[in-house]
Amino acid sequence: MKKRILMSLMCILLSLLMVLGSCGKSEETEKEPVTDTTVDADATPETSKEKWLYLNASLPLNYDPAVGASSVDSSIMINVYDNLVFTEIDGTVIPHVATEWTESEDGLSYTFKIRDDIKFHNGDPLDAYDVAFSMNRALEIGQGFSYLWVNYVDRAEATDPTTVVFYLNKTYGVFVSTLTRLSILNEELVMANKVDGPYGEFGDYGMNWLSTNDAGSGPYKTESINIAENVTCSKFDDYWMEWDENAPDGFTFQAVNETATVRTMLGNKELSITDEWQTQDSLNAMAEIDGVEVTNIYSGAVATFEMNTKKAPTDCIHFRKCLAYLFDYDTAINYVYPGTKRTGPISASYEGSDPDVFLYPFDKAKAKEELEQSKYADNPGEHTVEIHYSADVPDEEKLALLLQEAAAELGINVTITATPWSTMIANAATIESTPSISVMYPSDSYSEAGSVLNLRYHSATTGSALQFEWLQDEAIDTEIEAALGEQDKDKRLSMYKDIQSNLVEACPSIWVLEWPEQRAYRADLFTWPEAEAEKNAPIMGRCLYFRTIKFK
Amino acid sequence: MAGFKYILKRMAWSIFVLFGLSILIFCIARVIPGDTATMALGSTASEHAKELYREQNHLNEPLPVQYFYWIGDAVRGNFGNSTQTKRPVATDIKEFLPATLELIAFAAILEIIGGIGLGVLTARKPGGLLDNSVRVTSYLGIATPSFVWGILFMLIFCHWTHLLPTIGRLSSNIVPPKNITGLYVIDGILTGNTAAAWDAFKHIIMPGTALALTGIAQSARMTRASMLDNMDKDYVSAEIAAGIPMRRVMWVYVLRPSAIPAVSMIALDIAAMLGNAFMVEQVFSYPGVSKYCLNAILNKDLNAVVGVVLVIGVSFLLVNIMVDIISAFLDPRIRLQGGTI
Repeated sequence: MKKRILMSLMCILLSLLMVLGSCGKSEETEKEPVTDTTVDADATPETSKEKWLYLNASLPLNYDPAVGASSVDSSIMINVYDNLVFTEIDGTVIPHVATEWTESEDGLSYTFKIRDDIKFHNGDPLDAYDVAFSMNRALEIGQGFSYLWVNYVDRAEATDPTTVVFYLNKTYGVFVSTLTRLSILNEELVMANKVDGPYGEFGDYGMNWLSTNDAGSGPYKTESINIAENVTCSKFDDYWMEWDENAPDGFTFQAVNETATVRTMLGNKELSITDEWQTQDSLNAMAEIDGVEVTNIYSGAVATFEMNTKKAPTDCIHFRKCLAYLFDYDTAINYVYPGTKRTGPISASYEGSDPDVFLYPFDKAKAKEELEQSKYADNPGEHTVEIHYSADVPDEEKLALLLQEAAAELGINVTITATPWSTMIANAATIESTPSISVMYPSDSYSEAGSVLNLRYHSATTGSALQFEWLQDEAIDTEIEAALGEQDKDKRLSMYKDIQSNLVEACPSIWVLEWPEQRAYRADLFTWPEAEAEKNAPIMGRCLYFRTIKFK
Repeated sequence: MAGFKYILKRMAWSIFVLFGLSILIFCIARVIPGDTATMALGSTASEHAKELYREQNHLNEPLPVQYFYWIGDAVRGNFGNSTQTKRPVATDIKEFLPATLELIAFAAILEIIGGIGLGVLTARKPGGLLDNSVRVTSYLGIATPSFVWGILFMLIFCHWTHLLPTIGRLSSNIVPPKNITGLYVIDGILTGNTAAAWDAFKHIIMPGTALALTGIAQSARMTRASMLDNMDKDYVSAEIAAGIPMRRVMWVYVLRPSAIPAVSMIALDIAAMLGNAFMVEQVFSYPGVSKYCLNAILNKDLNAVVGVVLVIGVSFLLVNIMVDIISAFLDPRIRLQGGTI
């Protein structure tokens, strides 16, 4: 009997071992893709690690530039891929892969001449066909930053190796600025690695392969990707721009989120730059470490209380204005996020931001006046104001508490809920599920105010986490579309200002403060131009451009 | 023969349990609010892209049809693609599960040796110095969550003494060993890559110990209590009277029946660690399946959640069967009565 039991036990142990074995087995039997690239999951960079940057981030990444759109994705793209145009630290758009461009008289086509001396990481030359392929691929996949072009760009065509033409459906005055988000891919390499997929002759458009490989020509090339653990890139020696001898040899993003771990690693110099989501308490503690400094990089984000304008009680404009007057902005600026500044709907970092736009002051008397005009004046406590904030950003709760405390004085009942980010996205799907107020820090992709206005307040983005306001204002939509289509820049910037005034009047949001990226970094090891700049480009991920960092 | 039938019966029941579990988690995953396509592709994805995603994943079909598509793929090991990693969930599980299993194996060894060993030692002289010390530290072990131990270890061994690596599964300058089992320590030894084996072992020490401490404390207390119960029995007095050395009486004759509750507890604790290790994995940025599952839940990565929950469910069932077999081995009454005791 004992033997039988022992036999059964061994059978189960054997099955467990077989499961383990299959877990560990490499996919040797699968078709080997064409990997004319440097990426090797098992490889260890041979470069010296003396001038190496280590950063923490939330992984996994979306490594395919047609898919990724987060802050970390953007940081990787800017270092691994090249773009037709490049945004300087201060937000100025300058030629990059493109040497010059012309716009047709009707504004419906743009012709770019491109450099002929750029090589991809695998040594292939970069040409106009690659540029056209990258745009057409982004349009077809329809994810990531493609929202910048899907409604405007019809197609891209290369007429010769150094000329590419973009054909538009309608005028798009900011088109050139948006190209800072078009990462140029090596067409031949991508298509050599396609597998079956939904895009007809293009298969999966290389999406599967690009999720763990790069096909770029940027200053850094991918060394290894352990998808949920780390991403390591090293200097691309054949990069077409000059290298400073003290530029970083490479960088590694590591999946570390725990505050105590981040602090320990920064202290041990195992981390060079932290992510931007550390709490104020943690930043204060890290600032005490010798050699560590904390940045205040204004990259366009505005801490915003987004009010659901279609659900009681925030459906009433006077009630919304009452809440805007009830917010104690000075306390937020001086104590919650010390050293920050106030702003209207658009961060001062964007071109077209209106410095003279009306800012609601903290004024309880005015708040009371507005409440009295509101349809909820008789019983302001009847409808609870629910504030949801991202559970990943605990400092947002402090902002919510400020409003809760002031609102209580007028009999307004405010509840505060920490919500996982994915739930916030789900909540945004319908008017009914969207809370009265959602606390967000939106920023965007190119350096004009239209970028934010379109993404945040146009009706096209309702039902997504880009807009919790459900503004759905036809007049605002028309104004935004007209501004984006305007080819004269001065006129366009002026139109942005009008829209901002109208938004302030409609008061769909409480614009609390301009939120800086506060990252602790080892200032004793390297100089970081973006951290020291007076003005930064309002472009997500731009401040982590590593080529210009210099080790001491 | 009765024992063999008993095991077969348990396995047959396990299939029913798994079937029920699959329906339950599939339904939960599908009724969670939010558009699955938007969750997967992001807020900025075009309508065309979202519709393509829905078609590819049969999301436009009625729920029962979706289930049959899903279960058909699942039995072939295809749980669909993860919306976070953009690759098959099965590939993710193959990568992350061995990391957690390696961590749990280390914790399990500590629990078995430490918990049962301490239980026996303290039972030898109840009320003695060792017993009292273990009792106090046990309370500390039981009351303190594993992630707190993790942070404490990190402070001592990383920040102050720099003795152990802070995060991950392997240092960046170490080449991972060739895959055989997926467990780096074992693979490193099997392939002669001792540097990798040693480095991987150093990476496991802190998270593994943090994970094991609560279990050690509980099993030590349980073994001690059970040992003291059995030591009052007549057969123990008879063995002592017969001149059998006390050490042999304790470690052979008393431990065997006394170990059953502790073994059951340790085994279930080990199975539970697959799902519970996320805090420790988070603190040490250890790329395990538990942390993967946590991120999947937070990001509503439903395919990944369903895949991992099924794997954890299977592990629980296997461990339960193993516990029954071990208990039957330790206690003849269980196997003779078909597991009714």
